[in-house]
Amino acid sequence: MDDQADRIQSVFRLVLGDPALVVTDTTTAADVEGWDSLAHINLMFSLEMEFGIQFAGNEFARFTDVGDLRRAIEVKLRF
Amino acid sequence: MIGSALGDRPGHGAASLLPNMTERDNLSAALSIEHDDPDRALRLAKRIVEGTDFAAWKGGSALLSRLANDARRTAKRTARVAVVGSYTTTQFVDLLRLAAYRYGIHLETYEAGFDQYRQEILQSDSEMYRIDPDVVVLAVHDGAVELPDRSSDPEAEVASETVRWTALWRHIAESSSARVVQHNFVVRPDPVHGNLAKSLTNTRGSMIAATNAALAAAAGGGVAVVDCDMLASRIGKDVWLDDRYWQIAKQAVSLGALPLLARHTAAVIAAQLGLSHKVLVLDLDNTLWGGTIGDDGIERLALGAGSAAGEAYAAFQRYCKSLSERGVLLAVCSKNDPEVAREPFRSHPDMALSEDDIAAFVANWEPKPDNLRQVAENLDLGLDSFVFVDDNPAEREIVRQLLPEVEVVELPSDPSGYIAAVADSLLFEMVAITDEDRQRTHHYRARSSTRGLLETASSIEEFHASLSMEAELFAFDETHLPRVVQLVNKTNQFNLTTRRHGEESLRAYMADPSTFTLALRLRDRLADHGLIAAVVAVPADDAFEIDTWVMSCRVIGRTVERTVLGWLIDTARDRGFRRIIGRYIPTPKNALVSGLFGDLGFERGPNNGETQTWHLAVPPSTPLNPFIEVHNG
Repeated sequence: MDDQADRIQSVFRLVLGDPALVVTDTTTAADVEGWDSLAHINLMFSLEMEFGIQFAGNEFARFTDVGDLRRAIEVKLRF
Repeated sequence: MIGSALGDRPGHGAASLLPNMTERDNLSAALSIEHDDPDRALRLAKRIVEGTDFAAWKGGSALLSRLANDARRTAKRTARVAVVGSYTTTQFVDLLRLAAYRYGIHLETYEAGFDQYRQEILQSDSEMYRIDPDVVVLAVHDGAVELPDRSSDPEAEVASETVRWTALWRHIAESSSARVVQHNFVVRPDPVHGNLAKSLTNTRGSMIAATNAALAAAAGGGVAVVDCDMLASRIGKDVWLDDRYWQIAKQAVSLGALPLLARHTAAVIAAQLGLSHKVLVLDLDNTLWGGTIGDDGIERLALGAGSAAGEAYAAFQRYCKSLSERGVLLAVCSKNDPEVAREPFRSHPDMALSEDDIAAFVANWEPKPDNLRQVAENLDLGLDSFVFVDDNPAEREIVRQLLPEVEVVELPSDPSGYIAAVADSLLFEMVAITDEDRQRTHHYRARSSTRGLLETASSIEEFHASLSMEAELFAFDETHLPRVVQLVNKTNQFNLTTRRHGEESLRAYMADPSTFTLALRLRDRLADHGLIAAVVAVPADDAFEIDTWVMSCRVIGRTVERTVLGWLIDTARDRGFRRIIGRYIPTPKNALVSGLFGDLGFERGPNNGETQTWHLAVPPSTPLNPFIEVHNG
């Protein structure tokens, strides 16, 4: 697992309160218990803090899976 | 392994929100022992509340939910809290549970629907009232303020907006016995008027600021304000007001600011419920001054102008002195030779604290937990009202381990951070200041002198006689009501029934001609102890029942209870009652008075659950207390 994916996973574990949670690029909200719309906001905020980035308002609901999210974070980190 | 996954990554967020690694370390450690040692896991989870890392708070809150039974058992008390708000408060409620647990409260929460605060409050049969809340939190934001952008009559607008809120408070008071916590409103930067905005009284921002001031002035008596505008300024209004979250999720307070808001709200709730701390225990070397008095001597201590550290220690002393002036008792607990430890207090020119400011001074080489127990005994206060401040991590750790009921402040290594460390713990939060608070150190010092007397008098009777005690007895009145409210709500030890009547219900007793109230003021030749006892007695058929009887710990062992008994008997006989009924409801704190009624000659009746019932036939003549001269007011 590369660095970004690893950090994303630890944020998910922390925010969703599940220390054993495993997320991969193909994981979607439907696959994870507790990943509802409220938890989604928590995840987005916590990822912003973890990586020192900001999502635009219209990005929040756009990501289809964790891989999509990871790539968006990597793009933001590059610029 | 979750521990390493959480613990080894620095965050890269905005500076004020940088995840604090200690918080995540504490969380990881708590998660790893969750099943084996839940009590210790919960103690670690409490320490997450020291910081503002939202993700760590969420993790801590989830842990707290899983360990709910252990949390209920280890908390000082349980409280039902209703949160009614103007935005999505789910996250806030979640974090509030963790913060409240840190201040000793196991919360049972009810969260109203989105923006339902008016409906919940105004409908007297709403769900909120059905849970009989101890506290109602008005978690509202500036968007809920019904003020226009500009006004031709700003004073009238502010007055009517203020009344809108105070009317909600009154409605809560009339429909329940709950206390109220009101969040005030953040004044936003004004994008239209810029720097001129503050000079204009008729802009929305200026009117909101005026409303905040009016609400703060109107609070008190069961209503406390959390100053969100100040909190937002501290963390940064750009952080607090992140409009993206409002637009996406109707989250008016950004997630990064919620931990701070939850911590302050919980501390205010704790203060309202009488869980504030009373004693600040201070180490000396490298806590009140830089250096070691025993090694360096007076001349070489860092204290006062001349060095950055010296300035910082002097500032910390001034802060401690200010705390003592508003009612926090200061104690010294130092590993030192007793005479050497007092030297700087007597002869260092830059000491802000004098020996008179210290209610209990212990310097010796015994372990600090033993000394803290001794201080608690001398002051007659529970260790759970103690806050311990020591620069030495080893001392902090031993106190944490051996006296878990004592709050230990985590001091930074730089003394310039000491004030913030104590202040941000919010352990001395208070909802009102009374004259008694301002004079407390004097009372307790006088009390220490009476201990000295006790050692020279050859019998307890001689001691009591030597004090020349005088009591003033009168019914509750408006002037003394704030002190009565405080006594009824903060007294844990000498409290027979631990019924926490708020200001409004005490006022109702005052107005009810069938109810009798007694306030008692005690003076002796050493000190004026102020108003130290309050009693409420109500008719129950042919009997006179003691609903509430509380006394300050300052006057325990002074025979005041015999004077109160005299009043009860006189009052009962005057009104034609044959019997007096006393009840003792045991709590973890009030074992002190478990034998009180027996000692006063009452007879034990059958128990009602845990509640003991005691009876006394009203005698034809009232037994006198020879030690206290009574003046009826």
